[in-house]
Amino acid sequence: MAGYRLCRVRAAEIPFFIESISTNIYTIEELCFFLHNNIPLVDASIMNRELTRWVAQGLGLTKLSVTMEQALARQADISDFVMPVFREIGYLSTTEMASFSKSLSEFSRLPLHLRLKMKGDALVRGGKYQAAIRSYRKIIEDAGEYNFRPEFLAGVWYNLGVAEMKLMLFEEGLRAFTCAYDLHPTKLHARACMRALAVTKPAGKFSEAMEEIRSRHTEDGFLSEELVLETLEAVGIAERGADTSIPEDISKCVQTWMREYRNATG
Amino acid sequence: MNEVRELLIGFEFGRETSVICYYDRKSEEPVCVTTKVGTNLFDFPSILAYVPSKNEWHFGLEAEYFGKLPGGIMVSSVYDLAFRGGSIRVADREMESFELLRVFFLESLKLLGIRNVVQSISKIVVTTREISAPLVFAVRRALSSIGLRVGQYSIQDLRESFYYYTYSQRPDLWTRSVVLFTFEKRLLTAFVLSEKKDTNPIEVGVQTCGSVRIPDGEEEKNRALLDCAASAMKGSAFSGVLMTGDSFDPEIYKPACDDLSRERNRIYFEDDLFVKGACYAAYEQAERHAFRGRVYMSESRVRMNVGMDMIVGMNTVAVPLIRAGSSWFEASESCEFILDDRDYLVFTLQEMGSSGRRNFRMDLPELPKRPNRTTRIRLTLECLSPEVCEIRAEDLGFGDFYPATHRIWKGNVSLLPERAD
Repeated sequence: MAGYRLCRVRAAEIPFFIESISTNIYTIEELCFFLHNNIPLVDASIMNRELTRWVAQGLGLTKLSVTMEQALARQADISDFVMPVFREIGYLSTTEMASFSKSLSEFSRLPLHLRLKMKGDALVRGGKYQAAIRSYRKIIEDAGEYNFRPEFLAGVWYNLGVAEMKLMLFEEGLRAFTCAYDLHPTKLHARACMRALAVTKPAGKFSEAMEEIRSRHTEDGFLSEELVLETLEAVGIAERGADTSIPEDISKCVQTWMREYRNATG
Repeated sequence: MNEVRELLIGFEFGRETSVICYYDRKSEEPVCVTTKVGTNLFDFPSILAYVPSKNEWHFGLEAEYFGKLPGGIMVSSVYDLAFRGGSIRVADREMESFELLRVFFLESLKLLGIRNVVQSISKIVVTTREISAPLVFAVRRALSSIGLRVGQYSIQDLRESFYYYTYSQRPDLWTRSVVLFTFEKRLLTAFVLSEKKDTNPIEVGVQTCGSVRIPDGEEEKNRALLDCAASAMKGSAFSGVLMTGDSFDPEIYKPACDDLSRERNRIYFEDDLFVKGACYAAYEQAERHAFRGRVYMSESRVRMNVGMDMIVGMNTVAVPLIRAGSSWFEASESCEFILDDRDYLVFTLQEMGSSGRRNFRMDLPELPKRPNRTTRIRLTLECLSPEVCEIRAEDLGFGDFYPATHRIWKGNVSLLPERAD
């Protein structure tokens, strides 16, 4: 239903801080937006009395707050806590509500470690790399106890590598990509490994490492010559440097980087 | 004074004098506030005086005294300054018209004899002879700066106060048209209130039917009133004749009144009719709500309803923003909404008493690209005249997810009915 959604609930003067994405929210619409787009992040860090208190005091929605508190008290399903928020303002259409409710219950039925991986993925999307790394590491730590499929565990290693590379933890990232490749050799994992090598190793060492990888993996078909050449070309571009414009407002740019870094490591 | 809280106040703000009254719920009528205990003196001069050595303000009769003392500063142009706008130098500072008005309201409301009078006011209606944009601005700003919220105050002209006075009386007064004669010093003016019964809601208008200078002799005075009545009451049936004003003397005008009552008209005399009308307006608007189905119309009234179809909960609802029948200077509205798959605004316009609607579309060029339902817009509508309404839409972003650009889009919508060629 396209149109204009009238905001009848006041904006809070004091925001609620969503720790998992390091973001302040001021309105019930922002809360709905977060819940709708981040199901894996709906956990104890948001389903708590701090939020219900904010709903009552900040937004002035006492009745909704009581409903949410009751859901907390009887340790009800996520949807019993979340859906009343959407119903309060009709943020979603009837069809969307039904589909969202289905996604919620499907999610809550997923195995714990899959939910943990989805949480990590959501955190990576939100730029919260440090928190994402913690989620991925928890899965890897439990791997000895649970018999995960190699494809799943390789996916976790790969995503861990991405999060670590984003934090410029290159050695750790390379190790994660290598683990992903060893567990489940795919083109994606191979490419990630080689590119991580390029940024991690000095020129001489990079060639040696490439040769070693080639000797180990050329027969499995994933590490094709084409892929090696593609990587070398990418490395060449990186070494030569690419044309880029200098931002007009350097200070603003640096501030943005600082904010992103703090957000990623917070 | 019987009332101490939830006060309903009428305030006649005149060029030379002003009057205050409050609605007495016990006796169910407005009561004027005396300026001196034990007297029937209700009017006080619309002037201020400032004593710099004591940093004190005085109003009314006191101002006349303190303004003449050495070192005292008399400000006698409170009304004029408010009416035309501008500022005036008082001692060592330049004061805007609304600042003077603020002092004037604050000081004169003390006549009510209630501590924290502002906190005790439920509604105040200010009535003046004429309305100008600067006057409206000054009155509203002055009253909001003393702590009253929008909706707790309004302003109307004397004709509208006559309307509120009339319909707050017994119905036998207003079953047909009503004529009001005002006697101000040497000026006699006739106002005629009549209804357009074929409209829904019923439109009520008040016409000024000319003014004449009041002659000196008694016979001439009566002749002037009868002439004025003949001209004002020509061609209509009347159920009531009202007289008000300081220079009306029932003894002197008895022959003319007898003549008028021979036509089966009821004649009533009312002191301070306009301020009482303003007080009835406060009562009607804040508590009574008995005038439904009837709307006061004048040249300052908006004739078009402006609204928007909005999603409220799970339903699409027509949300009224500007209501037909409201004074253009008081017709303003503000709301916030989230754009849902829309990058433009559509308003609906409906002429009063008509079922036809037309749309007005306002584009929002260069609206930041964001995911759906992550743009909050603050919409403000404000009438610039009875014919034009200004629309302002401001991008409030979506909290910390998508910061606001505070970009403002403006558009004007015509409130004139569309004419068929």
